[in-house]
Amino acid sequence: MIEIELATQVVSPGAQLTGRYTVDGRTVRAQVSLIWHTEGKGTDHREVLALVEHGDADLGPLGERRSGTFTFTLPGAPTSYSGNLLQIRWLVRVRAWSEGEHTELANASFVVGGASPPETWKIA
Amino acid sequence: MGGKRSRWLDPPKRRPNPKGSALVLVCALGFVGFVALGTFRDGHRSVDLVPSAFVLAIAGLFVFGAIRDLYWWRKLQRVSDEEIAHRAEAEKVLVGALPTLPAPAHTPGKYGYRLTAGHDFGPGYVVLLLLALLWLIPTALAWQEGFGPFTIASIIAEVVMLALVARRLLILLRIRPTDVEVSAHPVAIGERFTLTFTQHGPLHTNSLDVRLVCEEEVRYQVGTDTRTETRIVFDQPLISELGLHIPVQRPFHTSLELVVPDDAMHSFQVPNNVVRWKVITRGDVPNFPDFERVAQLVVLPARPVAGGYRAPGRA
Repeated sequence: MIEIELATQVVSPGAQLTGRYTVDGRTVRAQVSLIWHTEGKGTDHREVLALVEHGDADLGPLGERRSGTFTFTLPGAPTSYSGNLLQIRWLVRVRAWSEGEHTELANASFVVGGASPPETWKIA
Repeated sequence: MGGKRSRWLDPPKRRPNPKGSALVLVCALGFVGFVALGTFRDGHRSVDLVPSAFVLAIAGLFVFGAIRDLYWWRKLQRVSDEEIAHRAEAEKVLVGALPTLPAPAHTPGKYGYRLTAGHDFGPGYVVLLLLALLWLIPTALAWQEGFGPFTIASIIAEVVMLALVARRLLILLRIRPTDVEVSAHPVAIGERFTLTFTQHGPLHTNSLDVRLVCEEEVRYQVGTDTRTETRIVFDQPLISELGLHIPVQRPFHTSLELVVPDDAMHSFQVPNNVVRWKVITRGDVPNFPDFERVAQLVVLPARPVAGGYRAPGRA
């Protein structure tokens, strides 16, 4: 099982996101990607903004669990959003390959920016 | 998306070539004269008017393009290359690095940036007008054949199309321009800006309403159909006037200080999902079709304290 720990759950646009993950001890390769995607009524849109590959040498010592760290710099947009017809979600995805090409996948979602649902917006 | 840029006001900005534009203008006008002489040789129509009109229309487009280029060449004469490059670079840092934001569309205004309004006679109506003109051919042929059900259907379709086009043309000709200007564009969330509204006269309205609106638009597939759904998620009345008489010499003019809500969503645009901010002007004119004009406002995410955004990896 893959476990992902993010340093923070709410990140400002343009800021850095750091985190750490642990994978099964038999893992030989892992990929960490930074993704945002839309959900809702419209056809989904997904963008992978960064992808980091961790090989056997990067995954820490062999043992019961192996681990890796990551740092991503977020772009200025889009921010997370929970609208009526569409939502924008951000996540870090870790995909791990163990011996025999068995793959595992886990996501950790986080929030970018401070946009609220539109019902709460008030103009000054 | 960020890659879509208007010709002059977003990068890459370039100066028009006045010699090239003048040459195109002279050639196009010469061609118009040549076709006109060929069409009406010795005072009599010598060739069919339809192909001549088609050729003249294309030549007219070249004349329009050349005059527009000369206008912009004249307008940019006093703006230095450095200033153009500086503006282009500033926009590149803010917008080019954020591909999910639409490119701002504006022209220089008296009070800042004049937002580009949706045309009263947009491309859809040009297509409808062309269709109505083309539809005259089967209608005329059907009329010659006799007065059957197809003739009646053709005439009804023709009348409906021409009525729709005429209604739009009436609005275009009768309602004078609406100018929506903002002191900064694009505006960032939480930033204060001034919106200046001007409605030129002569115009008499039962009511005139201006609203700041945020709408979501999504597209999705149902079977082989692509459907579009739009929902207004924020609607802020800005101006509401009843019984307005605007004389030609004194346009209706008002300014407002605004801040896009701190917790609002910025403009967002990917192929099937859009968040759009607009300033909508709606007028109810007595004994005349109502009019609605829409100006798009590009809203950026809140700016970081240190300044503009940087794309990942940008120094």
